[in-house]
Amino acid sequence: MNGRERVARYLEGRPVDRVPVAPVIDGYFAPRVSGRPSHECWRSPELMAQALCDCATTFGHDIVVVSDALGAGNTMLGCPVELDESSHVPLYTGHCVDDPADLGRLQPAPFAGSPGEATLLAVKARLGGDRFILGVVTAPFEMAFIARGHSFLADLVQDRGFAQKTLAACLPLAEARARALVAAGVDGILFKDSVASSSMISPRHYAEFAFPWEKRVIEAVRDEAWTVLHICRNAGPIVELMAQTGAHVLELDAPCDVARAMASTPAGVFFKGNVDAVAELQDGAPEDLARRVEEICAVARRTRRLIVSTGDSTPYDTPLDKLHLFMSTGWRSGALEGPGEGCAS
Amino acid sequence: MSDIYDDLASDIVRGDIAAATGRLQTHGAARLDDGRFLDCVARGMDEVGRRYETGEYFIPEMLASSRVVKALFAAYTAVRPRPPATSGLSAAIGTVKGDVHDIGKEIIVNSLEGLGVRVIDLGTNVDAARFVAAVAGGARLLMISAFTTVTRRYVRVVLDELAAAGLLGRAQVLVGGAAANPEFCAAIGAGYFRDARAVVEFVRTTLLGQAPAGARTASRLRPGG
Repeated sequence: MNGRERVARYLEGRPVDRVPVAPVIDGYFAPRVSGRPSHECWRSPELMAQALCDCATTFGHDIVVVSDALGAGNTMLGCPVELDESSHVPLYTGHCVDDPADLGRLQPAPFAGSPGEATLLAVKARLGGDRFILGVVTAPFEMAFIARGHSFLADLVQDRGFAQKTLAACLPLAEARARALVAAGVDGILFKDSVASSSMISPRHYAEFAFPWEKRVIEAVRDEAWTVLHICRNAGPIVELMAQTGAHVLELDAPCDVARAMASTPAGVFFKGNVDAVAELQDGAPEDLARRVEEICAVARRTRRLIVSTGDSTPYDTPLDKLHLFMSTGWRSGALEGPGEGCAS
Repeated sequence: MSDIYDDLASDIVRGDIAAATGRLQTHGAARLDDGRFLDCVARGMDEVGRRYETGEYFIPEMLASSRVVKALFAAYTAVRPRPPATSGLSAAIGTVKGDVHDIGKEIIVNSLEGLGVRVIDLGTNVDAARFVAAVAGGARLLMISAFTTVTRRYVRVVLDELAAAGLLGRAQVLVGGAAANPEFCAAIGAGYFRDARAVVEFVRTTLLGQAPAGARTASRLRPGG
């Protein structure tokens, strides 16, 4: 049973040989393995695809997240981006919406012919059919934050109308990208809404400003692809609403209590997480990491609703042997009784 | 009868920039009493900080309140020489190269200016040379922010450059931001601060010798520190 089959069957509630194991290994970490500088990989679809595929081969994770930062959020919004040799991640260095008149600038950029499409197609050519391929879409709330900068968060208090207009302007961009990814043949879409976290905004603001737009963009494609909703750090107070977006999978970060989240959401909702990518995977003692992965595997085996993962992207400086430890522990502890119906191996 | 200073403090807490600026315009910024004005700003931000600590407020409320303070100070300083910077303390703050997060920084800048500190805002994505230049230029408190673990490494570069310039020790160095932690800061010989509120309290009590925010009950914020 390969990773793609395993994840799809698991999400369908069908028997599998083991629970899926898929730490978030995306463009922030992948260049480590390829040996090419991060800034070169972010600028080159071929190099980024190579780096992601090399990681998939090296670590064997079931889900490959196809990073698309230069093609997705940034170029669509036209925000200035800096990517120099000392940096491992592209950085927004400014915003593009200062007042309502600027909202007209937010126009969907064609996916066809974009760096994002080129990266995705190259990854699919090498891994499609073998791994579960997740495309990435920046959700409207996070997109509005990128477009307006921190002013967007103040708008939630001081100019709610402008905040909603900004979100409404971002929705078509997110929908267009999601539909383009579906058309390009991804298995699932990861909707990133990191800023909508209860570590940043109140649950009340989440309900008013983030949730409705998440729900709309997810509903646009949820019948055509698996959908994953990611919110950084603390999402505990909003997990019930997250489930109401219709997302098939909720990716929870380390501060969240997954057992409690499961208890408060319908049985059909899956979760993905939630090893702390920094404190446990990158910086933690190996024995602590192994114990944590075992604990998550135990929950996954018992509930069959949890994909064993990190709660956020694997940091660039993560030791390679820690990732190997994560995977080997997950494979061993995530094994399920019997090979499962229709298992190929 | 309502008191403009109480009303302004309330506007800050509510993040109501329209009410605050309108109120100030009606009253006249030139008529403000320096001490009472600074006190009401501090009281407002104290309450905002308290609500943030207790989980009643989040980042948007903090930013909204900071915006109100910024607008009030813009109106206040427009009609008089900049009296708030009278504490004698000069500070510089910036987010390290490769990082553009500045929520905490914005709050710190506004709050410290409210305490009478001269704050040089270096901005975001700041290279080591600019931090060094700020210290060479007289800053005695250097606040460095790093939000991601990727950019956290650059904090060490800044300290190395300070040492190379012979300036290490001339300024007290504080490191904050989501990627900072006590272990990292101890390892590089810098002070660690969990959040903007903690920095402001440290400056208020330790560097300026003022009473802690919770201990102040009336107009005790002295322009001149």
